[in-house]
Amino acid sequence: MKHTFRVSEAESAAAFERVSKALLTHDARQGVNYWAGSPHPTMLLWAGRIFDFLRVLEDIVGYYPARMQSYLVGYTSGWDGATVSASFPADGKEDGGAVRLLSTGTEILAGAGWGRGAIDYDDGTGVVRWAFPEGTAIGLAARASGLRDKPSCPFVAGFVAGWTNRSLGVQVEFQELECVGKGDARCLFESVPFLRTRTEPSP
Amino acid sequence: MAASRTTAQRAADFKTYVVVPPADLSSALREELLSFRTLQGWLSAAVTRRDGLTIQHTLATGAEAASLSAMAAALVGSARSTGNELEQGAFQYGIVQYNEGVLVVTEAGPEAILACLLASHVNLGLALLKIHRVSKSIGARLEAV
Repeated sequence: MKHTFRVSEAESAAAFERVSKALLTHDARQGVNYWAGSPHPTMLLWAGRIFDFLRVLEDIVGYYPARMQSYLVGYTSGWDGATVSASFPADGKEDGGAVRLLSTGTEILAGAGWGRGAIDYDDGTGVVRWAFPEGTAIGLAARASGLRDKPSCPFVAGFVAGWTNRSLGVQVEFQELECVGKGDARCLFESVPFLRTRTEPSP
Repeated sequence: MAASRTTAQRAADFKTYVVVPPADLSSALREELLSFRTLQGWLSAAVTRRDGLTIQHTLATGAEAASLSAMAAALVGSARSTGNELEQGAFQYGIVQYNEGVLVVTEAGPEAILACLLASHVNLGLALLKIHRVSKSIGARLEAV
């Protein structure tokens, strides 16, 4: 069976009200925000700075190790975000809530300002695709600083991997097939069981 | 000790991430790594993807292997970057001598890196000969799978 979850512009605006306003609390004593009852401090961060972390790492240790380190951080964020979201009462219980939890990922990302996207999940093949027709925030930031020949969002790839694995109870990883930072029209992430990379992208 | 606990804990934190390598990849490499047992002073080894994800290893725990693999990939990556900056050509292998042992990292075909931990008293010439042979064999095996 194929599942498709899309967030319309109106839903994105509603998700912003919920995710970035209603679920965000401010501890005035600390001057720190918290999200949805999670103990992890939460803050606004310009997307370009996450891209900068990647660029600096790439210059030092190369593309692949930099990609993995960024991916791992994103992964933890996605895994933890799905864990917090699993406790929301609105989440349904069909399929143990797994598919419903997966679907909420798009609302959370759009509402948090990461990008408005869609998820296609084929439970027959197990393939999951996360697409961002306008690009992710990090991809847009990368594009603004000049096109490059390598994908810009291993952080988001890790995030969607963490969210997907936590939701569906699977172990897959995600590759960036299309990236607005490379000049593609959208950002597209697709699951693979195990990535085999044979060539180093040019610096 | 505190540093090693931190590193192990960090690797353990990401245990939910680790994608299980396909069985045919793992089994193809296990025999190659165990061939190091004949090398006096050899301690352990890991084959890692170029981004630092462990494919096969001989360490006691997956967390230890994850740390070694991540650092080996970073070492090779920074060595490649240095080579590019200095216009010294392609990376071949790196040797890091510590008080307590030796770490050798080398490319193992187009998609993998081989990292070997050796005792400080190892015959380095003999070890490099063996590591070179095994890395070639690993590269060929991965290409065949």
